Amino acid sequence: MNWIQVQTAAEGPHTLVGIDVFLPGTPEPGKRYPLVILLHGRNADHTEWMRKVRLERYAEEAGVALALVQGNQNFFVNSVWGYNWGDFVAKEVPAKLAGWFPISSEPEDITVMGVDMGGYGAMMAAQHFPEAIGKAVAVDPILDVAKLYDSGMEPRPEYIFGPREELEAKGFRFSKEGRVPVVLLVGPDGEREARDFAAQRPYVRLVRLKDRDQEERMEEAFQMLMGGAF
Amino acid sequence: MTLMQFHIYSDVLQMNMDTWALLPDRPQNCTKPLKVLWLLHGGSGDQTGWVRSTRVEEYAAKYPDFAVILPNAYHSCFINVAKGQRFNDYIGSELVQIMRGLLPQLSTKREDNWISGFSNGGYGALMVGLNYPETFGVIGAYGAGDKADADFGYRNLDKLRMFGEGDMKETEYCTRKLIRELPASGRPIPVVDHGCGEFDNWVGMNLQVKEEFEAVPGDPYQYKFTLVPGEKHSSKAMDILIEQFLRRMFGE
Repeated sequence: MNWIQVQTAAEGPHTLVGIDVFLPGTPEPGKRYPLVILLHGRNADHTEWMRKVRLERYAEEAGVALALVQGNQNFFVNSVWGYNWGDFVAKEVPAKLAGWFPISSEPEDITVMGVDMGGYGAMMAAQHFPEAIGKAVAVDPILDVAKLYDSGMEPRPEYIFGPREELEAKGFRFSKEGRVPVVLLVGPDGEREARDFAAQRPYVRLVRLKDRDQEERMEEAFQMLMGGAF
Repeated sequence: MTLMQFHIYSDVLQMNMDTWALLPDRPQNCTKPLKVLWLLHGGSGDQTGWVRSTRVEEYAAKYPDFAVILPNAYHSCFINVAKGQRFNDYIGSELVQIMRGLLPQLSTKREDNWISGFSNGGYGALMVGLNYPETFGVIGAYGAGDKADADFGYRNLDKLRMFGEGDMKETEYCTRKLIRELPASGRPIPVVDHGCGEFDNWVGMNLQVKEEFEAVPGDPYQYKFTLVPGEKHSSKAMDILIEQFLRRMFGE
């Protein structure tokens, strides 16, 4: 595939952001490729997906464009301090990419997929921007950010989400109803929490992965997405 | 502007190649196909040279609907190397097609496609632009002499590899031959902007090229030449000449 490292001014978060874009070998004239936006975990950056998963071998065959988006440690949401990473992922990235590249801007052609913090971000994009994206795919996502308040996490979750008591009101927890389908993929360790979570949310489809290694689960999930499993 | 680092595969060169590009930050607001400056690096340089040693990004950002593409061609002078790979065809034909495929906003009109460079890249801009005049409507060649006029006595092996044996005059590598012969070919003729520093080490070679352009009857190249006062073969000369080139191209 063609690999394009993009450094661009992100308006939502008011900063410069890196995006790694992959486009199929020789784009057919006039064709607009469907897009998968890939979001990284809290301890990683936008190179995570390409370093852990053999993205190109699956995406080239599937004829899909990829965008690996940098989000630092901001959970890909519009933070209480006004850094709008959520707007950036769901609206700005698709608009920019469809402007520069032969990439579709139709919401049904746009999938947001993430791991860990990025899984939370992908599901948040589905919750807050149902008109902008077609589906979300989350591998081992953080399902409840309320738990982070006791975790010693730096920077403090307050700086992103505000006070713990207001998480629900500010939309940082997952609602019971959803318009955008969400695929939730977890390994053996996350199974119990994910089962309870999905049971209360009809828009969530739970997929259990057997491998105990997260990189293997990321690879399997991506392979399934490219193969049209969901 | 938005900086893009492309890693693409070249069939002509049979290897992966790097190319940089500067694109508008808000492509969704662009209303017209983008004009394109294809900007070639110097002798031992690469695709990063112009951005690192000049303010080309700042100058380019002033104009809407405009992109700059910065290819890499290693130490090739952007020619089809005598005992090597076809870099002239890569830049003039294949890369243009690849980039237009990946960036559909790029204009395909020849008058919107300008090729420029400094030093080896200046020679390269002439050699690519004059060989592919259907693609490039404008050449901005700076610090640019004709390699056929150069003294290669001190690096004979380099000369042999790049340009082959014997005298280069009147060969495919001779810029002055291309300048002389294009107008009679019936092919389109690019507009040429040329210049160098007053104290450029190779100012004499630049002036030989100038004489060749000026000797073409009827001035079909709409030729302009600038001697930058007080400057050598320097990044400051590059900076001054590229800013002036953009001003001229955008009618300022």
